[in-house]
Amino acid sequence: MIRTENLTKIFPDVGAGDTVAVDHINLHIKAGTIFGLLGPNGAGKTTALRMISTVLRPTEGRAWVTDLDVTEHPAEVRRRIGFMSGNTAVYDRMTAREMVEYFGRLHGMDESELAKKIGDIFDTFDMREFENRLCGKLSTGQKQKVSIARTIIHDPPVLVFDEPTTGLDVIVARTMLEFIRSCRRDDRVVIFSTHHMTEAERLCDEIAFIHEGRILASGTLDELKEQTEAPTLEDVFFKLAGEAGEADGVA
Amino acid sequence: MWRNVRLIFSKEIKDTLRDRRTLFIMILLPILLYPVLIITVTQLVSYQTLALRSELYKIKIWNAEEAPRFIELLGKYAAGEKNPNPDPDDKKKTRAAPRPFRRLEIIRASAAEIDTSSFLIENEKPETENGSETDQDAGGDSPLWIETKQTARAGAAGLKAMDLVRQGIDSREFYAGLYIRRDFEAVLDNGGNAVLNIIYDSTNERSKEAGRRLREFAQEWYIAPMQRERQKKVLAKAGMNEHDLSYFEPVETPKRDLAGSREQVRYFMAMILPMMLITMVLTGAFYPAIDLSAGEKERGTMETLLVSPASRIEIVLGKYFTVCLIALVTALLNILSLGLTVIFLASSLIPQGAASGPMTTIISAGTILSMFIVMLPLAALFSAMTLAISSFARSFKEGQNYLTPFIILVTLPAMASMIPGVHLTSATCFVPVFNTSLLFKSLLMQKFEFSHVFLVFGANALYAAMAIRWTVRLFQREEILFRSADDVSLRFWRARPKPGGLPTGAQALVLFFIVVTLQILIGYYAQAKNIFVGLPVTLIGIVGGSAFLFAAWGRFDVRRLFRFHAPRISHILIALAIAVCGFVIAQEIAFLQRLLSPSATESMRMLEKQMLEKMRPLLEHWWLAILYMALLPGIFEELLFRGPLLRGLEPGRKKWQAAVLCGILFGIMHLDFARAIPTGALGVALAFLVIRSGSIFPAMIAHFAYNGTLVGLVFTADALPENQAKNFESLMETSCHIAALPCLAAVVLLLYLTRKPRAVTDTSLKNDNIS
Repeated sequence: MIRTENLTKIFPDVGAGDTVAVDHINLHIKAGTIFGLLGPNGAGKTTALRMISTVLRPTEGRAWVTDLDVTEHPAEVRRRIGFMSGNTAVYDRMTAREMVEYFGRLHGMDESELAKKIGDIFDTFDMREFENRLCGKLSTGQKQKVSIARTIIHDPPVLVFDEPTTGLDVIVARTMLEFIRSCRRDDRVVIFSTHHMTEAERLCDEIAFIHEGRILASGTLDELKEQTEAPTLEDVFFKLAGEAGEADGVA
Repeated sequence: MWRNVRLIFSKEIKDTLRDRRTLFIMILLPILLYPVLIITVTQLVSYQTLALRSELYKIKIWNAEEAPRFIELLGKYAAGEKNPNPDPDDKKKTRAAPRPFRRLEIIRASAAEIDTSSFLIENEKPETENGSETDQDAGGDSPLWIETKQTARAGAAGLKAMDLVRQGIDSREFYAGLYIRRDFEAVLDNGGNAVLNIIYDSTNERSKEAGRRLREFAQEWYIAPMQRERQKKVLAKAGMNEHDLSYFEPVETPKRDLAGSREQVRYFMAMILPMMLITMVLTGAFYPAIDLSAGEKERGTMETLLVSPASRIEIVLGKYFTVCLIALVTALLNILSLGLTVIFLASSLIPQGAASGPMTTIISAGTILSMFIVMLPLAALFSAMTLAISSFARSFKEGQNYLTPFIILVTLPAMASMIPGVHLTSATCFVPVFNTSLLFKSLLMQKFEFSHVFLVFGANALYAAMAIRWTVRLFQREEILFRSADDVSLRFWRARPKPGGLPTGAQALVLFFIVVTLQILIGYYAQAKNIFVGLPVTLIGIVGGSAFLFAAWGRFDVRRLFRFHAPRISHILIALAIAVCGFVIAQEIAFLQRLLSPSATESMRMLEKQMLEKMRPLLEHWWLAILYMALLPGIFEELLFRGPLLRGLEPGRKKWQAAVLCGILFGIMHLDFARAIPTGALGVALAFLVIRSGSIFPAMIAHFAYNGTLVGLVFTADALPENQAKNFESLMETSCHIAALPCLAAVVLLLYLTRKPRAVTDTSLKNDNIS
């Protein structure tokens, strides 16, 4: 479903020198998988996900989403993914319903299909009571629900979530995580980034550690623990990061 | 594609209409605020004026006993009585203001207030030198001089009286003074001339009104009848009757202005309206443009849209059409509201609809329609520009900061309609904004050429298309779209650059602005004081000094920054050739400028002459001129422009782009509009020379040679006798016409030939090429 080959992003900077945000990463994610991209802030998670979602162009390497090349068919790829991050806010001056309708239409859905789908989603997420309220007047949790509805309105096979629980309270975060879990049943691919180890531990089928733009290790939770002989995911990370640091030191 | 554009457009319109800020600017301001504000202010002003005019004013009179008749009459005037001796020829009969506007309360000053010993020197006929405003009141055969305000002829006692009036006005005791001199009426009765001092302060509304009443009274009630009396006596002596009075006015000059009141109103509107319209279109575009680009980034909804299937072009166009529509609607609403307000004011405040009648017939429907059509591409241009500029910003506030200079930049050419005597020519049809302002003016005056309408429309449409293209390209650049609000690494202020690096474009621009500011604040002042000191202060201290201080601040590699590399002999020869060719081209450009807009160039030449006049002391000796006008600029201007500025402009740009930008800055720095184009072109050529040769020295040599040729020319022309100088000038002109194109070709070819500097073994040079 999602594949990357030496995917690389370099941000040029005249004054301070170029920044390599993502450094030759290779990923392979199958359908029905919840894939966690773990790493500290500034590790390159957001940049990697933005490239997969066609928002940023790779400097080098390639990426495919449902066998479509992200640089060659960006619009087609965007039709097949639902992308949500801390940076994808809702329109304050539109109502919850208008917001979701707008994106449904941008995805080319016809009106009857759209109305039915909105009905389903709003029922599932318990959004009926605020569907006609302006998003600016909604609570954080309600806004998050609008965002989820916006992400899945076109029923995408691939969902990309960039730190979806950052800044949310426990209750809203739980709604989000439950939703992610429900995606596995629908045979979708979910790729999501986080720096919460426990979140990943509870949710992910597969995990990749990203640090300074490079993938340090990837695999199932058990595989990773086994590889590094660490009891928890957090220990796995520190061990991997430590090794990477030493390797850098030697180099 | 258009489905998505339409979707985004309608969503953005809805979104914008729900934004209070935009609504306020777009609808509330014009529909409510303008009428309310304008009407209230006008009414307040007229009310206040009326109140001031109907007030009772105290005036103080010194030596009232010297003019009993005058005082008696004044009492009648203040009481609202009719003028006992009206002008028999005055058709309107009563030129004096109605009663409530004449009320005066007279305070007689005690004799002790002014030392009367100074009266001795008075009541002589005042000398009429220097043409002070008294002269206007003092008709040749007038028996009286009304002295107003602070004239020097008041004499010592008069000056004392002026002080007392000042105190009186300040303490609000009275508002005007009347100072009557000794034997005032006695002198007049004997056929002599006397002086009457009416003292008031024209900057104080009340005092001005009190003074006006006194002057009105003195002229209409006292002086004019006395004049008529004397004229009659003279006529009688000459054996003529009073009908022969016209003898004293041999020529009548009644006002015969071809422009009726309608034309005058139209002229006034043609001056004001274009600028207002243009600014309003821009104001209309301002808020939605920021809101839809920077605002979306700040609110975090931009990325939401970017991950939808809509392509970047669709997104830009959807937003662009929104800005465009709102800009147009805002402008129309503003105009409509202002127009209606003015018509309302004209019909309600000015009695008998003196102005409202023509008002509605001044602008025909055709004019409005053609103005609207011309406005379309302008709105398109403004919308694209504002959207593009604000897309650089990360937040609404930053967007406002970026757009404000743009607004100022647009307002200046928009004021073209207000400059008297400036008209649209085929050439100026291509100057954006300027062209529209002037076209609106000629449309409103109903004196326009159809070819100009097409040219302006076409030119603006072309610029708009270019601007839209730019905007679309900006939206495809990641570094611009993803400058989010939380990304606060402002490049310039981020500590000092790493040692041994090169400056960024932002740093170079800041350096440029500092130099220009210092040049204006200090350099020009110093040059005006003493050119021999001022010029070195500017060139060595400010221009060169800033370049070196900048290099020290940034810890840049000085050799790389300034390209201090030994030039090849061939490069020096090329530099000399470029200087000569450049000189010919510059002359030709100046000639073309004169041809295209003779009047503008002529006034610019006048300005230039004034500037040259300041340089005059330098032209005493040829070596002084060469030193100050060729050597110093050649070295120090090059150090700055072809050093850090060019270095800063190079990264991330093509060579020609960097050279052109460098040339533009070079042109701007000289702050001389007549020579901006040739200077800029020279700057481009020199920048190219430096980039191509890898050394700054050829540019210094070329600059020196170029300026040296100019100096040489001035000296040659000065040395020749007058008639030969003329021949010399025309000879120069002809040879420039012939040589200009070959010279241009030669410069391009020479620059092309200036290939790779030296063997690439030099490591620093290697770095140059890599960077």
